[in-house]
Amino acid sequence: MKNKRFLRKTQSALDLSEGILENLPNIILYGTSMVEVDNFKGLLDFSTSSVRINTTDSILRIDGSELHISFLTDESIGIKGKIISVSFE
Amino acid sequence: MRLQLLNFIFGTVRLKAEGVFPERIINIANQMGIFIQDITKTEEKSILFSVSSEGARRLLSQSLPPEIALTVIKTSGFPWIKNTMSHRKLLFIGPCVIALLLFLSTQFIWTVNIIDADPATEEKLLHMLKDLGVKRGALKFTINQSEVKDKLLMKDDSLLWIWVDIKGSGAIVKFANRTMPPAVFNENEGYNIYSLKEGTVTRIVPTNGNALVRPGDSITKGQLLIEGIMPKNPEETKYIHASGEVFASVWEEKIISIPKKKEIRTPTGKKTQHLSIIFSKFPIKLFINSRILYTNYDIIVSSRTLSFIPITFKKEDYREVTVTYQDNNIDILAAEYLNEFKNSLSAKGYSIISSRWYVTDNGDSCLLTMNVLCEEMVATERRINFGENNSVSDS
Repeated sequence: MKNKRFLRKTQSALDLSEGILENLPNIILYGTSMVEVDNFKGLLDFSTSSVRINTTDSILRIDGSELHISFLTDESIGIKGKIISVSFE
Repeated sequence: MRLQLLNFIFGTVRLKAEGVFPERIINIANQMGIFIQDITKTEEKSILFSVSSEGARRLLSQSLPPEIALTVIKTSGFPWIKNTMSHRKLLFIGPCVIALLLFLSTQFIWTVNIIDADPATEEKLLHMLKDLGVKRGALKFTINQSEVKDKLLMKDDSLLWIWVDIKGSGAIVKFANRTMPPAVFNENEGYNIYSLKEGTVTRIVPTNGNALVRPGDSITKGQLLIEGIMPKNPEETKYIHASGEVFASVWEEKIISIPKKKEIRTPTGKKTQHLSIIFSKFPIKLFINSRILYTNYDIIVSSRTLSFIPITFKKEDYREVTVTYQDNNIDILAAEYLNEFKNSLSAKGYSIISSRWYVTDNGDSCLLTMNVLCEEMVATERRINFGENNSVSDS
């Protein structure tokens, strides 16, 4: 907790982007057709209607239809399909 | 596109993970640092995904959870094609041999084209070029263009300049002829001026010699017009080079046959195409049936020759036509032909004085006789040969 607070203070002092030192999930939405999540930790559940992924901060849930994972590396994941919602659990 | 290219170069493997919670395989592969693409869930307990060939090898050699089965669905990319094709050696050798043959064929001269040459000059130059090694079948790199140019210029005095250009598999020869200086007269030789044609003298301008005719005189072909013999005294004769211009009105005649009926060819719209490839001079037909089913047809031939290899693509269009006949208007045609004839005479430098034409029947056709009265130069010179008949026998 102390470490987190220190990181936030450093981040604020250096005027850095939010969460850059804490490795918080970075979610980029490309319209409703693709979502890219950086700093992801693992795939929890996957179906054509929903994808649950573990991030450093929380569990991210992506709902939609015809979903499929276009790429997956050790730090980021790209999900394509018709995205309806992105939520945290 | 870039990813697809990399996938092709390094090869990809489509895998299917089946079992309880197959997402675990994805997480294991992810932890191993394997790049995973195109993950789709087909059923509740199965996932399809793609990894690189190397990734698949690493993943399949890893001890995986026993409740999940991992199977290879499809392999694609260059490493797999190479692996499949490694047993089919001829499949590689064949194209390589063809490519090699094509490359070798481009190293030879297949055509020698001489630009803007009359048939006689063309034949002469081709013969000289052949002697210097510039011929069909010669290797391109053996031809030294500068050397060929120098030798040709030394061989033939009538050439002003010449250049042999090697383009693709053809040799293009460009040249220009030298304008030869006028022949030097020998003052001691005697020349007479004779008539080339039969006609009536209209003008005579003798610059040297003794004029034997006057305007209004009728002349025959080969008649002496200006004499190069000048009597010095009753015992001695001086021979000179007679010169001058003699113009005469001459009737020029041309007879042509005109068919009474003209053919009208109307396309029906039906056509057949024959394609062929001509390798050097050997045609390869790209059609099976060479018989043309049409009774009347027109042929339109077009071809395209590649410059770097001796291959010509030839296309023959056979277009069906219906043939009908219509009466020719002889008067209109005669006027057109007469005009054409007059133009050809004017192009020769003749002055047209008058003209006439008449038609005679000749079965299916008519014979059109055209007469044009022209004023033209009829003088030609010839050396005086003693003891010979000095008249001009033929123009």
